[in-house]
Amino acid sequence: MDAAQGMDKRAEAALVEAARGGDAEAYGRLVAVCQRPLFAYALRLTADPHLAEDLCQEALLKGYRAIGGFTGASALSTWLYRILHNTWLDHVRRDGRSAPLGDAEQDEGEDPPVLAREAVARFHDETRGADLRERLEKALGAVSPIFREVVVLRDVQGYAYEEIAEITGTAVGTVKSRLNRAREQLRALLSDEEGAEGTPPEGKNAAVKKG
Amino acid sequence: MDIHCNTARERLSDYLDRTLGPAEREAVGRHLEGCPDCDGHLAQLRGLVTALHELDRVALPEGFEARFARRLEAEARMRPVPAAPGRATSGRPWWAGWFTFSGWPVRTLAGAAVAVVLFFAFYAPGPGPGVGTNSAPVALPGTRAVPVSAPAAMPHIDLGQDAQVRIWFDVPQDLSGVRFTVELPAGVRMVKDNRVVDSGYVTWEGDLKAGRNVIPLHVRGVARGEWTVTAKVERDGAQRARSIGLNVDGA
Repeated sequence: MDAAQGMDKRAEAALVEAARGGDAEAYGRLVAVCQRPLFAYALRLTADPHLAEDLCQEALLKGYRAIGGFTGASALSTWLYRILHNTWLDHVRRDGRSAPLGDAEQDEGEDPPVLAREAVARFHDETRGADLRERLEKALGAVSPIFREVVVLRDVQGYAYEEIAEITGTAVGTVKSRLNRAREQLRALLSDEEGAEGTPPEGKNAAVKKG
Repeated sequence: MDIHCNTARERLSDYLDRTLGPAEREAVGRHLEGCPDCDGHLAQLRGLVTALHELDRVALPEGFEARFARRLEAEARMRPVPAAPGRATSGRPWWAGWFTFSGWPVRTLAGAAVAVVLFFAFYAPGPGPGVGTNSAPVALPGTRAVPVSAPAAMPHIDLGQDAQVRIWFDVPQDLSGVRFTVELPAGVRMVKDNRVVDSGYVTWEGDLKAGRNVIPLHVRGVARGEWTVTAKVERDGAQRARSIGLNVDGA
């Protein structure tokens, strides 16, 4: 996915060069097309529009300060997403809410954990009567942020595995693993069969019902 | 290769994205043909991914772009003015050093006055910038313009003519206990109450507020020649000094 969608490569390069020289207007034009998807990403990470805007704007300003270090090895949008990802991580750590990051330290080789049966049942209670979009949004909110960001980047925003790996600073294999977990958790939440995919007490060999 | 449901389920996400190797893909495909449960599971995942794709309709909050434009503008004011043409900017971020010096931009003030600008940007870790004190340029009567189109040329003033040396300090947060020193050459003197101060050395200690701090020095050319004005800033043992040439001639 290209940062300056619809922008000629040479025009983009010229704007990057101008921004490196401190031209704020050039930088503003350069990142104009990235603002909405970056905000959407931040909103999914935080579920808080005000915080999402703060993080997004902070990341964009960091990009302006650091544009001298942008080598062009990746798309500008990927580079900006990476800054936003780090800004979000910094915020979570500063905020003392380390729980969302704890999942990142889990062994990626483990079988994908499914949500607890109670969590799935609670989700169904809370979303009864809601339309699909609302249920999807709520389901995303129920998934651990570290998994959620991967599924958002892949399935909502359409990034390639390699780009997601670059944005999140992880290996492609980790991206796949997190994506698999995130999708499985979402599928379980959105399944019509209440609690169908809750954590099977028998462990990973328990029978999985058809959804 | 035959696989069981658990293995197949672990591969479904990759199967959906077509990122499995040929052998694995074939094995999962064969399993799906004979397992309606896993096939249904895959159908659910496919539906999920399609639905997620439809979610990408988030609009920017009202005023987002304007707020960002204002913050970017404020940020731009915090950055050093790029070096004169012919002296390529390094691309090094302005906060790379504790004190970062911008170069020596020469600006024409409104009213055709001469302004010699010494510009320092301070680095201190902390939140983003806010614009603090920002003195508007003051035109000095009876001075003449230095063409902006020729910034590489040494700024000059006529003998007996006044000029304003403006020292800018941009800081991202309040800084206290900063020592400032300005050294004036024999041909340039400070002017106070329209009288020349017979000293070429001025030093003081003060604080800087977050944002741009401008210290205007009113000087006069008192002897012909090419002179050098030097400004120093010191804090916590770190020091930076920069100089600018000033040509006093004419009259």
